[in-house]
Amino acid sequence: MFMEIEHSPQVIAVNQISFQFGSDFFLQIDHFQLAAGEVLGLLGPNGAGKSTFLRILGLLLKPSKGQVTLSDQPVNYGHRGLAQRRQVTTVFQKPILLDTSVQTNVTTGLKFRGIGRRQRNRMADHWLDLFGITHLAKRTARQLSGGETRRVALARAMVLEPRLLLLDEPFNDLDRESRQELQTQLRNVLKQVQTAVILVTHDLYESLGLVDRLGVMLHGKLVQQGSVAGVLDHPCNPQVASVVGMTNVWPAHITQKGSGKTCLHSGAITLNDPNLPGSTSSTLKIGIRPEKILLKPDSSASKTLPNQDDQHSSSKRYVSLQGKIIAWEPATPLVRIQVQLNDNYTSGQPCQTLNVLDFPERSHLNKLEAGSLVEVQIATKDIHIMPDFRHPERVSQNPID
Amino acid sequence: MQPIRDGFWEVLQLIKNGDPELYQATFLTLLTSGSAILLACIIGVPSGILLGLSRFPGRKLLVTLINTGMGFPPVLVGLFVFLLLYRDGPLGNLKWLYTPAAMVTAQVIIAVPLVIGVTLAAIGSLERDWFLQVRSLGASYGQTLLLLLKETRLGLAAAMMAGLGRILAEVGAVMMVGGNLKGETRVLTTSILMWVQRGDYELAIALGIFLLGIAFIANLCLTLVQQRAKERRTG
Amino acid sequence: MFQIRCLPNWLLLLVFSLMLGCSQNTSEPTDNSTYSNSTPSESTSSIPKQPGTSNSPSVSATSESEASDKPESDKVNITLSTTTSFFNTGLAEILAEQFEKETGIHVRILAKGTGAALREGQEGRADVLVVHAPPAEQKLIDAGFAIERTTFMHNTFVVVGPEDDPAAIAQSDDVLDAFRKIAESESGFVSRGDDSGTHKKERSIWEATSTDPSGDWYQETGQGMGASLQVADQTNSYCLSDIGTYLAYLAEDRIQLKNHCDRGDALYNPYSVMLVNPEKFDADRIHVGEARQFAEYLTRSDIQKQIGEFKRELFGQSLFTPDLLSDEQSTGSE
Repeated sequence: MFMEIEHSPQVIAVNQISFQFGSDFFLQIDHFQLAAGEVLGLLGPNGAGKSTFLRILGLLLKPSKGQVTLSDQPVNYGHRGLAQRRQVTTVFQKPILLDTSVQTNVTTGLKFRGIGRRQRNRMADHWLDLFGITHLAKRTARQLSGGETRRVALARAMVLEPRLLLLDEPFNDLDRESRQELQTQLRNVLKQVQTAVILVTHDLYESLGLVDRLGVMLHGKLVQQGSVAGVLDHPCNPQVASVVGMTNVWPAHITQKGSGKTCLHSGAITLNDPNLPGSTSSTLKIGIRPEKILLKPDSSASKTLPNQDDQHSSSKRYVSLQGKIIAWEPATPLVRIQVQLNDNYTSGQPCQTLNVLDFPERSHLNKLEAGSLVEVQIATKDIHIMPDFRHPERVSQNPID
Repeated sequence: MQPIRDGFWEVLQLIKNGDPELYQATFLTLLTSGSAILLACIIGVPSGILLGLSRFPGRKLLVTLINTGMGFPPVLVGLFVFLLLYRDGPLGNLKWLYTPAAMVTAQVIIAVPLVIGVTLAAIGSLERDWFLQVRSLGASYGQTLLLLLKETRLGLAAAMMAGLGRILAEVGAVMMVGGNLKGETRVLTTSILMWVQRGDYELAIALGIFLLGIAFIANLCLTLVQQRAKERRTG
Repeated sequence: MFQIRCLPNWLLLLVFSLMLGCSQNTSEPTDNSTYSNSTPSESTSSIPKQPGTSNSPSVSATSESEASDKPESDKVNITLSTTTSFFNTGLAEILAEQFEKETGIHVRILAKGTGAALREGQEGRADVLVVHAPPAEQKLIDAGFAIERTTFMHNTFVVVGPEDDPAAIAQSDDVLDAFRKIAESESGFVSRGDDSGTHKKERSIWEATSTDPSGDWYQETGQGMGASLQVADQTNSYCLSDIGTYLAYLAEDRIQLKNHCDRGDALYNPYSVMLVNPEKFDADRIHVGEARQFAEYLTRSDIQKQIGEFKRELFGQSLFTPDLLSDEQSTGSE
């Protein structure tokens, strides 16, 4: 380890930044900060501005407006800011290795920082070992496979012991096995250091094992950030819901019962006394995470069970529904099941189809397969209500994404 | 074909006898060509790098000019330099005409577009985000430049070889501004031309073989360096 | 506003091909024989006056490389190999044109240094030779390659130099004295150094003065008369030149050298015509009959008169003096 400096716990913060290129607007973020040791996953569709944001956070791009502070110091983008830039390292989506040996690649950054040869090699060996690529040390960069290249790029970044590490889709182009291996290695590595990490990824699920916080970007804005559970279970609008994998989203409307109670209806689902979000005047939608749906074989005796809540079971409130499985397919490590709900409506609306992610063992145990009749159980707290809000699109696409 | 066979024999004789004119011409060839390629690289490589990295309106036009310059008729360059250094010309007071300085000037002007062009190609072969990547590793501007030279060293060696080839082969411009003065500005190429004019084809061929030998050795050295660098890449 | 990117690809490629075709013509001068300047009266001065470049001459001079001896199907060609000093005055081309008009025989002129010119004859690539190097001519005759030599005109060499005449040779008695003065004062002297007729003449003068010129002041260019004069002019040196080239260059403002000395028998410069000996080569290779016709043409009295008047109006003196006019016909010029 070199140079233990007393750093403030807050590694990086941005305030009211925006980025424009000519007349094209790409990014506008009000507040964001990251503390030492925190790992944030940044999600969002293509063109959302993730890569632009990453470049700004990596101190490689100067925002058109606004301020970025690193360890409470404002960032300098000229050559005076070299010391600051050296505290932040980015691993790009397509890492570019230098046309030389793996060892030299890994030690290059250290060389820039003026570290002596012996120490350089020692540090490089340490990190090559952590990523399991010591045997590649003498090989030239051109001869590496995709996975090996990524590992070298990661080792090259980690060896610099940055305060902030930015990873842009680090598991792209890797086969499943390499991915899992790399994720495990990365997880172990991150446990050992106090580096703040931002991980941009398309694949929500693979990042979950690594991150403490999630951020969601849409159309150049950071629309939601918070704890993993918070964001996953409570997306603030349907667009965010789709990004975080909440695949069951339907419109909902409110009715007033005679007794002054409110009721929320959405297709076959009815909720009494729902916790409505602040602005009740806006249109609403509900969302249910596919992992939170429990399927049981239909106890045929109780076909007349009302499709309502108020089913109590050990002080939890549930909604029980009935339906039929119309699709069952593996989605390693889970299975994806589509359930068509029985519907008493004749309003012309199509029957609701639930997307469910279940454990294969449980399915097998319950002998569930396509065509089975099932009883669907959803805890009411897992039915998330959100305003039907659409973020306005940007003027143009971000060319970096 | 007889003159060619005789030429081969004659060049051996010349070397064996240590013919002073041969060695004088060779020395001047190496002196002027060596200085010229060094100067051309000093001017051309940084220019090529700068041009390769920058984006400004009119850049395409400049690149086209460079490409044109690569194929520019050397005699025109010779004429231009002659008029420049001529007694009544703008740089006449330098009194460089008919001295090696004039020859080096012409050779540099001929080689620079070539060096710039090939350097441009070498820079262009870098990946799009190369600079961003290096910057993200914490390189200062100086360190970036050094690394750039290292990464493009094969392309730069090619630039040097191309420029040197052109310079060694040059006869028209060099004759015009150098005057082929014995012992002062008479190089191998102008000697060859002179001997053909004087009717001694065998000697001209002998000198030609010698010149080819020099060019071959020079390129061999650069190629070996290039190959070794390549091997380190793939080996 | 005209946008280049709106032009279709095929049009751009077409323009490119045309440009490429045109630029091929401006390649290196492979025509080594005409390295010195062409006739001033024929060259259009689109190139500024002073440079030492060559313009490809008009008419029938060709490059040495493909000297084919096969005649064209109907016309008979003969090849005249001559020195640049004869050619550069323009006289060779004028006479050749006239000869063709009169006889229908086409004369291809190869103009080179004396050594190369004689070699053309020695190797059977020329039919008739005109040079001005008596010792070399004799050698060729002795070796049997040339026959029927006739000296048909002459002029003088001149010693030219910078206007201020640093070696003060203008006062010298003759050329030998002038050369001595130049060597003693170590004033700059430019020699052709190419074994041409002029160069041989220069060396014979040095020998006659028992001086072996060497040192920084003595430069050898290895090139033709025009180029050497140019060098002498630029470096303010003396030079031995044939009068034709010197006057031509002076008239065109290409040089500012002055003629300081033209006295002395040593400066006598005779031009001779010789035929190449057909018996030395395969039958029918040398067109000796037509060559003889041309040689005789040069000695004809009307042509001799023409030679005597050549360029007199331009320079105030004729460039050549005919040798074969009978006394009452001779105009007694310089």
